[in-house]
Amino acid sequence: MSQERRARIALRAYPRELRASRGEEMIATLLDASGESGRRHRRELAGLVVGGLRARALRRSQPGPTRNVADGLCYAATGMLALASAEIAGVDNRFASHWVELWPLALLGGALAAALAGYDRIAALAGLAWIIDAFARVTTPQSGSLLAFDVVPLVCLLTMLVLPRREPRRLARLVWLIPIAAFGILAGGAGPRSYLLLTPLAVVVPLAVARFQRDPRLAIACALFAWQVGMFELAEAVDGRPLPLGLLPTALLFGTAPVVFALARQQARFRQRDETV
Amino acid sequence: MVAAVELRRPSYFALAALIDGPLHGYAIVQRAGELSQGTVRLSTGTLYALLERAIDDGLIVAGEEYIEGGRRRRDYALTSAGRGELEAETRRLASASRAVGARLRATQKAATA
Repeated sequence: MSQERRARIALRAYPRELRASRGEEMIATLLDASGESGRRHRRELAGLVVGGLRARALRRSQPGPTRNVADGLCYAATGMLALASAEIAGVDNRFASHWVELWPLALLGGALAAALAGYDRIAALAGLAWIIDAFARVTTPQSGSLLAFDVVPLVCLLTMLVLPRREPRRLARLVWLIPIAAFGILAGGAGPRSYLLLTPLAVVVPLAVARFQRDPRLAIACALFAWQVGMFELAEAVDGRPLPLGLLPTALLFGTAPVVFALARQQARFRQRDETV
Repeated sequence: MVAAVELRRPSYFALAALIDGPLHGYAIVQRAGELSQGTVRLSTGTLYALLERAIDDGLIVAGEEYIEGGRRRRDYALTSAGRGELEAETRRLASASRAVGARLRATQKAATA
């Protein structure tokens, strides 16, 4: 068997995508490096197989569709904790008297800090405890607004508890607490559940769209935010009030998440297909 | 994105091989061997793994494929970020060498005294 034939067999250790883009030049380099030495050729072949298997392992460790969706939900949970914290930070005395108390605020702040630093399970437990506490405080029959306020965050926090992100923990990210609180104080004057609090999405959404091809997780998180805004709208209808944004925008808000989820899934499938032999 | 981490020896010499201009895979293997005075012998598998990583980190760029001597080649060129990373690593190695060299000389004098 010729050296080239052996090299082509060893090259099959690499993912198909890499073989297509670099395979021919790798064969050329290997043949040049091998020269006439059989020993050097065997060493090169072994190196190529090891390199190929490593490349495959590296690709496999990249997030698949389930991990992407779970991470997207975790990002959304972090964003929702930030939104709730900003909302509370911006609440003036008119609201403070009846809904801001110290320990629920500590729970929420703790949940946000843990989520920012990457301690997802602690963040999820604290966030869930905060929501349960909010439910416990409800004395009137449950309204549609409450449903909107809690269902999407509940799903995101439960995902955070069961499938936490596999990312390095960084206490340095706690510095984000400062702009979140500052933004809440600046934007929160309009009162709780103000749409003004969603203005950071004007920056985040274009970023999520730009990154979608490479990393759809931020787009998934944004889609969940859109869903939650849609839930706010729906809550108004459940409570017997007209939809503030109108029917079509509300439908669009609800329609975003399934489209983003389907595109992310399709993209992950394409990537997996590229990596198969 | 530039990797703000210490370059490993094979990566250091592979990047250093590109200081004088773009080279193809086998030329990088040869040049890295010369620069390291034969201590670094890059295998094809190692070379392409570190080239891929360096491309991802923005340290090098890959050119178009071409044919030379009946074999397909592609040249790789150092980016300004790659050159910066190489300079930083060279300074780090020189600084470490000076510090350790000074200690060795100091202890040698004490040992021979």
